[in-house]
Amino acid sequence: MDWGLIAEIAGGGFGVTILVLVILSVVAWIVGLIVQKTRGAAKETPAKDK
Amino acid sequence: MFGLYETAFGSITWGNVLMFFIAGLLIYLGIARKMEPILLIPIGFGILAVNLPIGGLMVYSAGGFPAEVSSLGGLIQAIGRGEIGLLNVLYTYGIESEVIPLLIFLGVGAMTDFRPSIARPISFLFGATAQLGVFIVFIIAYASGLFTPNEAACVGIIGGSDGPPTVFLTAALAPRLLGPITLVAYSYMALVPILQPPVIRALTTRKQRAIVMKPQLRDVSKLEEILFPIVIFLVAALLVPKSVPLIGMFMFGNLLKVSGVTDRLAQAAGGVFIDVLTFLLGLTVGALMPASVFLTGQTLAIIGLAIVAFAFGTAGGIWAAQLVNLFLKEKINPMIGAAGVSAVPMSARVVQKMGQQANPRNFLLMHAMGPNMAGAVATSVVAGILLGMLM
Repeated sequence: MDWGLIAEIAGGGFGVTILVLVILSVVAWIVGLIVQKTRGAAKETPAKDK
Repeated sequence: MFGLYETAFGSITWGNVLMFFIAGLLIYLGIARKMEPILLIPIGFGILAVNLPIGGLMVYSAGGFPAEVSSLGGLIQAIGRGEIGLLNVLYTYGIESEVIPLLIFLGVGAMTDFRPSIARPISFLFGATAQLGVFIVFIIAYASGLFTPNEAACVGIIGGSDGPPTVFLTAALAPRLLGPITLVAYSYMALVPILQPPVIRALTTRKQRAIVMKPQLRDVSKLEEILFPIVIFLVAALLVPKSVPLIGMFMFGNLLKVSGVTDRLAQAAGGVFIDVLTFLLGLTVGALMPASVFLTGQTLAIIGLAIVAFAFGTAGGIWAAQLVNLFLKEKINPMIGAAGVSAVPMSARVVQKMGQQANPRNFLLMHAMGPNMAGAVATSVVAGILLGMLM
């Protein structure tokens, strides 16, 4: 039984999974934030022109 | 018997007979109980095909084609001689090559609505922690001595509750176990409404289950919907390159759906296209289960370990939601973490039903769909990580 392999795959694999998905969630959040800000700014601009 | 004429009766073993009963049970469950019929009926028929001696529809061989084939002409001749069956060809070119599971995932993407995940990005955390079952079962399966590390990883990924990544990983790492693992994975997905509630009840209090969440998530713009599959694909591909085939097809299918200009393609991909591929997958996978492969201790172990994988996957999602609640002013219902095991949309429905039981004012379906979809992404990422580590 290779306990080093088990630790590497189970511990490392699960850790990397969490890390990758946290990064994806942050990326999704940032994209949403940018799009909302951009749309908000675009909506405000014509209102000021009036 | 009868001179040159040959029947198959003399070659049938008790193992074959038992497999006929198992095939009959699957076909019965598919037709009478409507349990994943598009899969269980073809799987059952595939089992019949491979367990009929001197059949020729599927000539089982653990190591690819049962006959030496060096050219297309040779392949056609071998099929004509009955040395290679139609299902052998489908297996080699459709599943061993990973074509069918990946195209199925394209269809799944074309049916997926990511808006709940986009509106609440923390869903991805629940999708990630719900993969706990994959790794716990990997440890148990490997430590049992019944499985090699590659096989143990494939048994574990059943806990991700997502068919295409399970088939994708198993075809690459442990093709010998593709039949039992796929059968157990899809069967248990249909049993999510039975498997999850006891775990959820054991890990949450009635007060927690009654937490009301605002029914509406924020509006997600069309631009966000379009950017999501592209950005997630790029980032996931850079972080976990081995997940590119799965995430790529999944996100491409979703882009077809959300682009707004390829509706016919999206409808086709999520309709007849995925149905045809799914029954081909089922038929071929069923044909990978001759008695000699299926009636073993490993199959029994897979059936037991899959329950453990589902239980720990559910627990992982719930524990993460409970942990997050420690830092939130507006608490979330921890049951939505359980939907991170994917099994779209069954686990989200389980959460909705249990939420209503605890508090009739609770409408958790859309909140649970976020982790549900994120779970599908997470399982693809896990498959990529395991491939990278073990191949």
